[in-house]
Amino acid sequence: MSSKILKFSIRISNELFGLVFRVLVVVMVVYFLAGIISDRVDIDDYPASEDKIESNLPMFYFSVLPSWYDHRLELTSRGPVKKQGIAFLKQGIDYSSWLSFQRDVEQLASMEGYREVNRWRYIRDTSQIKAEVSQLINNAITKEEVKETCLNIEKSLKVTDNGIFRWMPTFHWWGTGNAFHKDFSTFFSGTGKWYQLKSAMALSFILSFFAYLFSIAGGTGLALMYMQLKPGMKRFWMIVFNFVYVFPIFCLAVLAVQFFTSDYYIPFLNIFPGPARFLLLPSTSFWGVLTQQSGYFILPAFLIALPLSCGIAMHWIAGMEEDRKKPYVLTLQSKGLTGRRIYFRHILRNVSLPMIVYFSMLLPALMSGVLLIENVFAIGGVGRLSWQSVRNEDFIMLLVITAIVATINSLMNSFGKWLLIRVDPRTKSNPV
Amino acid sequence: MKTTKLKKKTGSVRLWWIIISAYILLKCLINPQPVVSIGNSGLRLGLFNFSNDISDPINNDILTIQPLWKVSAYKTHLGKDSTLPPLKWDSLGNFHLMGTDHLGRDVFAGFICGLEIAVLIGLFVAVFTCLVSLILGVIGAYFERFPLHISRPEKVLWIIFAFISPLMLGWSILGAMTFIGWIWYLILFVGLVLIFRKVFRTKNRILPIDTFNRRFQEFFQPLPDLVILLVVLAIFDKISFIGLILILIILRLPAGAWFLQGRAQQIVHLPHIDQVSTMGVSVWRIMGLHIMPLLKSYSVVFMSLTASRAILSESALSFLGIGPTGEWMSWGSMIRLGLNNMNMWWVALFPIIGLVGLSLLFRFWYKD
Repeated sequence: MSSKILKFSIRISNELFGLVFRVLVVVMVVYFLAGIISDRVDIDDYPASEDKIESNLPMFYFSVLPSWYDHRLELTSRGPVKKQGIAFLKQGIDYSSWLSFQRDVEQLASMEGYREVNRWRYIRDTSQIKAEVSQLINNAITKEEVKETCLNIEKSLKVTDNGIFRWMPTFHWWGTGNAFHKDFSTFFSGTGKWYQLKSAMALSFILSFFAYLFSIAGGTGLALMYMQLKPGMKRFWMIVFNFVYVFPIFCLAVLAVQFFTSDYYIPFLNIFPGPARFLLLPSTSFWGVLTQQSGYFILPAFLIALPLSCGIAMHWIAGMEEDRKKPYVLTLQSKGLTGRRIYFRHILRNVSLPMIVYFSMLLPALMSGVLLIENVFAIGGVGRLSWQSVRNEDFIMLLVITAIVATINSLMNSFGKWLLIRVDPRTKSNPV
Repeated sequence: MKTTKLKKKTGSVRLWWIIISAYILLKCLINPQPVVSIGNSGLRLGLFNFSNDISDPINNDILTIQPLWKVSAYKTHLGKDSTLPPLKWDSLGNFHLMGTDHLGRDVFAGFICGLEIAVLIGLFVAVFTCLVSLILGVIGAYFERFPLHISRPEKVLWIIFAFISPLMLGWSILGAMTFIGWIWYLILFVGLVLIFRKVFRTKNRILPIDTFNRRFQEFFQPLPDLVILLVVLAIFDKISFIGLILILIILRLPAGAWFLQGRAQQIVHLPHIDQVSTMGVSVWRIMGLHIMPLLKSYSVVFMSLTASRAILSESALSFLGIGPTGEWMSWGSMIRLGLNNMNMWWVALFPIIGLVGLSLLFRFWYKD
């Protein structure tokens, strides 16, 4: 017995470790790319002062970049100037000489009659700039101070390192002073973000729980109803199922909000609380909302569940129609069982095996529904929060939400597999 | 039997031509700018003008072909009669088939804009996803049936390649790696593989090509499409229309590759594949001529489902006001307008009908 428990716990911990590892890899990759790509540093004054490196850079714990690439390039926001910097550094010019080149060009452009020199700041080909500079120097009319700056520019265009080894990838360990570490460590320690996420998760959990319940119950009920119908009606209902299944959730929500939450068009249809009510919820704690304000969630949950339940019903129907032709149904009919009893007691049970897997894989579709519905009804759940964090460029919040959603989905999948083995032990060696 | 089969085959091809010609016909009928204009700046086509910035027409054109009905979805008309219900004339004498929104913009023109965006996204995403996932799926299925034996050093080389390639991708996004760099990198890798195959003769390892699609699918499966899209759009704060199409393709690829690999696995075990491989036909010829044509019906099914899903993803994004199409007159942003102005049912209703109709069209297309 104890060895069994030990084996079971080892298996569970192994799976959990794998899951956490996978989620971590996703988050790390996303953040690594995000740290590289994003313009989190918005600096108006140019060239950027170097003391800002400490407060803004580096983005992540480590970076693997070609050795010619200077990390201070990230101080420049994306655009033609940064492209020139990359091109210059790639050709073997030092970062500091590129900066001095930019300063000199700016100085030259500020002089009278040399305004068009400004375009040198965007040209990536050094030979073109060199030719133009030498043309200026050799010109007899140019003043002495202009010539001086031109000579400086020529100096800063000199290639210092031209070896092939500058293309070797170099690994930098930046320690705990990076932006990701700072953001992540402050996320869980008493800031508002963690409380915001907690209350949002409570609201989203209630909404998705209701939606999940409605969709499974509704889908099964619709399928059972469908099987009792005559062929002509079956055709009609199949078209209805298809129609509702492709109906986007947010379209459904907009129509429902227009007709069922306001008395502008049809006054007696105004039965549900409208979107504005969710902004005035007295409490956002899990039990408070569940016990007092769960009525508010009926319409949103129903809207999420409507297309999903049609999908579920179509899956049930496909399985039931196949099972109906099997010989055991004929046996039951010959024994005198009623049609309803055959469907409820026998066919439903036999078809339920693949449906368990389907139910456990329903969560991604449910989550995207929750995301949209929360934005329509202004419910302060996870969907609304992720939309806000996209708008505010709050990466850490978005990544934490992503990690949580991925973890819940993976756990649900594992739970579905586990449940399937409990229900039918044959599937252990031969999964559906 | 043969005739019915032939009819079905030509039907799917004909549908493409019908869609493309209907699109061009529509642009000739209703357009905010001339359909074709030849002038000093060269030839300009008014076919893909759904974005916000429609340039002013040039007067000194040699030849212009005007559309039948010149109406813009972005042109505002503010006044007492700015908001009109469907089938009404405004004070300037313009007829509004589907009414106008709160800024006086024509809803019908917006509807056509949204149709263009949806059809373009649906078709591009469906076709390219289907092509790439067909190739991936067939390769995976073939090398599961006939595993590729390699030497141990070559396997190490492949592992190194698998680790370095994402890094290179990051470098190319950063700007440190260019297209020429990629060509050099691939030449180096292919050369090394060829050299290793000549040098190391003992081939006692298998290259796990068939598991690639499954790993790819497992990586993307736990996250909803919309969440991945939000993360990607937050990373690249300003993304182009083509970028959005690319992201949608990458999102649908794993599922497609896994689905088509499953179907191809059944075909790979058919006797004619064995015969062909014993005859010494090359691997690529077997894949291209003996497996892929048999997957045609499955790929059409996948294509139609992908198209409708891509359209829904795009409209959901523009409904949230995120992405390149969030600021354009797309169906999603029009539905958002309808949510914000609840007294104008016509602003939201027509795009909803269009969205559902197009999704149903794609869905019933594969069912037929």
